[in-house]
Amino acid sequence: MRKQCSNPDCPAPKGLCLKHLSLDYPKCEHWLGNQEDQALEKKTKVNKKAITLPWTGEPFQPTDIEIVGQRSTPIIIGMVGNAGAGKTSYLGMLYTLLFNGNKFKEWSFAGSYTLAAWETLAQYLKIKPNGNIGFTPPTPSNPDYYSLYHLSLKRGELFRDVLFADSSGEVFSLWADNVQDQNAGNARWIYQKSNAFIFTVDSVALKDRKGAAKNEIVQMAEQVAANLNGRPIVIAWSKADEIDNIRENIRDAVNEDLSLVFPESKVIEISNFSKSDPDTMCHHNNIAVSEYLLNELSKPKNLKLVPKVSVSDDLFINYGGSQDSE
Amino acid sequence: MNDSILIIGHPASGKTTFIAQFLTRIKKRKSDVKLTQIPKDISAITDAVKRLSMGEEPLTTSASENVELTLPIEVDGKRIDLVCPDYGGEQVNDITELMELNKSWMSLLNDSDRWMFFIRPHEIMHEYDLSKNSYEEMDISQGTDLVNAGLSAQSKFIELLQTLLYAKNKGIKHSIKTPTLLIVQTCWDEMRTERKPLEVLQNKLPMLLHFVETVWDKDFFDVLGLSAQEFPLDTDEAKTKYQDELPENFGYIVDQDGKRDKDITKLVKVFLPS
Repeated sequence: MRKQCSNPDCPAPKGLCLKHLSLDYPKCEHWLGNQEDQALEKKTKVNKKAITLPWTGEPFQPTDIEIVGQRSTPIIIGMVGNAGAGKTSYLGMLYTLLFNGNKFKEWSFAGSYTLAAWETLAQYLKIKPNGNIGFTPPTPSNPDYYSLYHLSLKRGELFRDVLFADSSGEVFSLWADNVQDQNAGNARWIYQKSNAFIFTVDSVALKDRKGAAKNEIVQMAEQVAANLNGRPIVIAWSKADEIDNIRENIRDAVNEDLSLVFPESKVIEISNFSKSDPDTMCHHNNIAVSEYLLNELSKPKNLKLVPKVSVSDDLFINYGGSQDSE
Repeated sequence: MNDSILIIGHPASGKTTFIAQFLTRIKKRKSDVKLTQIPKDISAITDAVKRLSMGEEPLTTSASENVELTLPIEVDGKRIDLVCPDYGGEQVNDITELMELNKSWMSLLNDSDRWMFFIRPHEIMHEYDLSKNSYEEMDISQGTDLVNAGLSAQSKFIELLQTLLYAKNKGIKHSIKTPTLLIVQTCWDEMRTERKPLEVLQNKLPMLLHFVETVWDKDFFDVLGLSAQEFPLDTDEAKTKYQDELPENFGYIVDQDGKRDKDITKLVKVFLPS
């Protein structure tokens, strides 16, 4: 036997330890297994482990973007909205729908490096055996909290890595009031880096808090619009199963304000509650929100051709490169 | 193309029974697949072969039994190795739980351009969520009692496949032709279904199927059913039948059209050039 007591003077009967009871014998200083085990364990680990994967399944942090950045330029979709508007729930539902076999019309699912993170979001939309549903807890409002959820998608031969950037509604509210707020670092990052946005409008907040909710929504919209620079945006009316319970004048006013602030935007009503199968707001529209942005971002860009004007009589200065000769 | 077939599967996915039945058949020359030499170490399945011959269900292999099993075979004159890299399946679990691969897996992946991925669909339970049709009216008693902890089976399968592709340095931007992928849905008899294998996978693991259809070229992956045992050995009648008629006469595969074929050794012929 490789492991044994190293003390020949120990008076304990064979199989027992003088200092430690029963199964605690490995704790004895004379037990030879200790050092050997440790050494062996270390060696085995070094020998066995060949590669550690670059992704963990957890949400990406900004520094993780390079994991997919080597194969494509990832698209970042920023989730924007007030606290409790349903940004995180939207992502949970998007994954749930894919998980259950729903598909984008044009894009196919080619994997994800944040599967564990998606699954955590989707857990909150599961119906427990007692029939209860646990809703998504608020996203942490720590200004250093980043969570990027990854999907690889293909449309024909076109390949896209997509990162959905989630953040706390509180942080986005701070940012909406003051874009330089020192506690709004992640909202600032999302706003700067995102290629497109999902702007969530909380139907239940508008139903319950009326004008106050409208003010917060419009304030945030104006801030988002300030430096949008043509980036596509979807206005997603979340919890839209309650949309008919919003006072009509308030709904109209929000619609009017948002259409002025985001004249190019697409408006889609979404809900996490399916009343039928298929359910337009749940099954169709949740997917349509992201698909609209993917399609917008994949449109060929208009070439801005600037006519070449000679600025000098000097041929050397006016030389524009060899393409002119083609 | 590299000349080995990897059998990949989580613990209790049906690898033991298949390999035991496969080995018994090719030893009895009941197939045109031949064993080219006696495998060096078949201790991992000796017990399963013995139990089947007595009409008893093989025991589930301990997940920590990290035995690599290689069967050197000849198929239509072509010499290949059927390799089960991690018999117990614990390393397969580790790949998606610890997100790391060991060296032997790396070299096996590099040497193999044919993967057989074992999934036991009957063990995969549906869970109810808000997107399921009309949550207000649904009968929650039909769902699983367990609140899922950790990754779902579906995500584990996807994570495993994308990890193995990464380890083999196979990008997913272009449709994959090598390695070929054969998804084998095991213990088919448990399903008690007349549906075709693709329909069962679509029903049980739709996102996995969607992933595979996106990432693999359609001519280089396939989905089949397998019942290596044919029926459960839980009655005296079933046991006696097994003892009387011998294990190698039981088991079947289910092709894309839902047709059954008693020759389970044909699984290794899929994707072999004829």
